Amino acid sequence: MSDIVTASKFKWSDLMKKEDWWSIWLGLIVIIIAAISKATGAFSFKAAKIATWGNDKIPSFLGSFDIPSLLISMVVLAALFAIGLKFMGEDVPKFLIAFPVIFILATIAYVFGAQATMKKYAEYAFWALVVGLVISNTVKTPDWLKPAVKTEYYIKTGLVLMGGEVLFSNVVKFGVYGLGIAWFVTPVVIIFMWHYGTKILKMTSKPMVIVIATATSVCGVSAAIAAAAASKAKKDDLTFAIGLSLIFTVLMMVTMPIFIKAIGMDPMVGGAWIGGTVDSTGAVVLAGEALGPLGGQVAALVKMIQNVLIGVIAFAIAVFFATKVEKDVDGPSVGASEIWHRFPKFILGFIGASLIFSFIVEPAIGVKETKDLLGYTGGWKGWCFCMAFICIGLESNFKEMAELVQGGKPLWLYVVGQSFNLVLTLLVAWLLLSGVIFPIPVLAV
Amino acid sequence: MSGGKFLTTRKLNILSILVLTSVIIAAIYIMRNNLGLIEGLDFGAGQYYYTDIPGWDKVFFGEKSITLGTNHPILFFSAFFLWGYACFKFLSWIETKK
Repeated sequence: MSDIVTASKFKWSDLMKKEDWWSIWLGLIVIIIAAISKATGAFSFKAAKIATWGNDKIPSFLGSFDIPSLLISMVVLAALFAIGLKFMGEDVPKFLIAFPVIFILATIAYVFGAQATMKKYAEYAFWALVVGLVISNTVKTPDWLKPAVKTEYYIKTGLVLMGGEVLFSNVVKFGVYGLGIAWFVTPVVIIFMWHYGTKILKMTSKPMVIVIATATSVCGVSAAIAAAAASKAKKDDLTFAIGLSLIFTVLMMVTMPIFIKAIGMDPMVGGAWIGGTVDSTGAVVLAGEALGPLGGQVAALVKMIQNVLIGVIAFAIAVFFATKVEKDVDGPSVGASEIWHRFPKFILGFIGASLIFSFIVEPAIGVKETKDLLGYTGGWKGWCFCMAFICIGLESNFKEMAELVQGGKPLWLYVVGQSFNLVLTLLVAWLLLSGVIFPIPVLAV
Repeated sequence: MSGGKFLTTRKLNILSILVLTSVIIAAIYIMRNNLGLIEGLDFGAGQYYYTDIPGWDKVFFGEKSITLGTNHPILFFSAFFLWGYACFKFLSWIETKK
């Protein structure tokens, strides 16, 4: 997510010197150690977790974390990232001095997000941005902290770990109707929002358009992170997309079930509508369950099918930006070698992890064991993302962000795009599931 | 925004602020009153990805989980990639069109 896209010829030494490749290696190292830890049981390789507090069980935040576990996680992450930085020729001692502060700030964000009420609605991404923004816009981010402000490095490593969670093998369980709803609508909404954002609103930041479009049409925060990294978006672009997605998710989660019940919509159609439009997966499951068990199942299923699209869409965005958006308007078409030079390589790790978990790990060890293994890697993914959001906040200032608001264009892009998404998804869900044209699907258990 | 003379930048800015403020107030009201939560489900809107949901395997692959329509071999679903490819080409065409 740097400001300038640079294309340089590939050299084998890049494998050991470039950030994109190191994010792949670090992701793979974490997955391998987690697999060894789970298979042998000789040691525990789980990242520190912050427990929910503010309830009867843990009334105070002081009881929500375990300091030895946090220290171990901090040392593991510092060591992993430092190894990569050493090979990349960066100043490792300065990184190691600053890193504990980034980790402590991430811990504070996690603690805020783990408060009993906030955990239900906002989680760590929101709080990490807030913590970072408050520091950068009040006391300013100190220079000595900047060697550990490695937003892209943390995000890319987190995305490679997330790749393992994109279980493509389950596509056969989704059913043709579910795929029709999720996969037909998603690309159409992205195209609509791209056209609306770039040609009608004439937004100057094209990465911001694609990040908001992907967050709206796929699955909110996680899709926004993947799209931002794939399109080399600026940090503020991602901040806007996530902020809008989080606020509207809360609103849609509550209002959609009320509306669906008020007009007497069929729960299967309503569930599919919710699954295809509400951004975050947790909100989809809750809103769907508000319609009853059938609505809940259909909503969750449609959302999961959309989630699977993250890898494919991130890949497509990377190619689209390399071949079309970053290309000189009147210049020659971009050849395969140039695409390779411009292509964000960490996407290969993201897709690779998805394919390995989908077609090797899950068939070999089953859903339950795969879930346990992802439980190990998921914790590290969360810390990577949380630290990345802290860094985004630390590198942002309100003055620059205000200039990007452009008369509320990001807001209108989201509102108009989400409205289009709502109409189109409802239409497709109704056509497929109401029995008006196609037979009502068999709900095979 | 292409709103012509009727929708000036100033009016648009005011409208944007009004919409955003309303949405934020509504979101705070929802959170303050714990609206939209389901008893027995120990997670909320803040679970961004399906694997972030506690017990996600039970939600998606539990005994009661369903398949929405008929099952087909995985190759059948590759047809959807053709749709994705067509959309990609269309998006590229939009971008190159002046």
